[in-house]
Amino acid sequence: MAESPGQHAQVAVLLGTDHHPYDRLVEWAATLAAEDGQRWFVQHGFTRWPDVASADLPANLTGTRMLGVRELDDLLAHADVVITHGGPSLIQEARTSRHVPIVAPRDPALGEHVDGHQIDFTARLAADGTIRLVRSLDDLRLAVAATRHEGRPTTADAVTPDETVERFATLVEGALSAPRVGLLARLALAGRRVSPPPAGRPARRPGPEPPRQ
Amino acid sequence: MPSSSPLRAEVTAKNLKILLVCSSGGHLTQLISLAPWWSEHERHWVTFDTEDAVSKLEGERVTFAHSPTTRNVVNLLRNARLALHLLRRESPDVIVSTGAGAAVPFFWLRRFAGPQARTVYLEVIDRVDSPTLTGRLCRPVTDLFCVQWPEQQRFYRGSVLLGKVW
Repeated sequence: MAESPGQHAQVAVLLGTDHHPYDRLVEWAATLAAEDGQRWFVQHGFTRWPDVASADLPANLTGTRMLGVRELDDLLAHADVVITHGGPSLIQEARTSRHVPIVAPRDPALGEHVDGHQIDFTARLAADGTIRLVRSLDDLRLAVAATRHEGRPTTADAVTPDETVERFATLVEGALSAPRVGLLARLALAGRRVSPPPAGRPARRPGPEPPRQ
Repeated sequence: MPSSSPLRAEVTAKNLKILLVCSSGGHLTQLISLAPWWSEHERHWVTFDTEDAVSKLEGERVTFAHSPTTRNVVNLLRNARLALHLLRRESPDVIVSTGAGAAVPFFWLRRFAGPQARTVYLEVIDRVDSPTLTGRLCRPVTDLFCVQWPEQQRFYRGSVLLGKVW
């Protein structure tokens, strides 16, 4: 097989399969690649390339739309620094290849995603040290420097815990042996369920107030 | 395929027929994380014809669904037709999904897989503070609904906290 794209890249920037453009991160990559002169590689997905970085892309910055799984593994195995959007898949793959990924979540206000769930999700991951969260070019510059300085973790951090998969298998077995509740029965049960009235509307049924805790 | 340790023997007492349905990208990665479970059973995949799915599912039996599914009635109908066909042909014991859209017709038409077929939904890891549209659409016809964060449980009645699958 020919040399895979990005094989010798030192910095990998991975945008994922989301169909929203994410020009901002590509522009940041172009800026930092020009500054540090290292070999940068961008999997740009549905973000336009290379005209997005307007004028002249630095020669040490290359890219492709989407890598196959082996090319991606190869890139992750060799890169010193991995930068991604806030998609769980790429974060997981980076961690499985012994990286603490730098993550720049997509911002819906800039048309980069449908909503802000990447921002909420990555805030969680940053809080427990799973990722390095960045929200600006300056953040990213510092995070790249810190990641280079600290080097890659010595062990992979992201393999599905066996207990979780075993619990899943047990749960599925339980679901298979339990009697199936049909949709109508389920809806009937749901209808009978005593639930608090929606806020701002009084309970339809008159009667004493239930005790409050 | 991620490297994963083999499941212990007792978990795989019975060989199941599994239909794994999901969008490509992150949804697919999440479902692939359960490889130690599904690799012990007979399985068929339904996902989208994208680069990542093609390379990740090399060697697996795969049928490609119509995409995009978001607010797309035509593709919903096409996928419903596909679901009818596959559910009848494969008659899986269990239909498993991590979302998104593609799962909906398969879950709602599950009867065509046979009276005993069960549906299992695993909510995605990256929506912590809000329910997903697909999760809400599938909940009424899901036998086992698993979530990965405790906060997700409040959106889905009767859901089970599985924990993070990564």
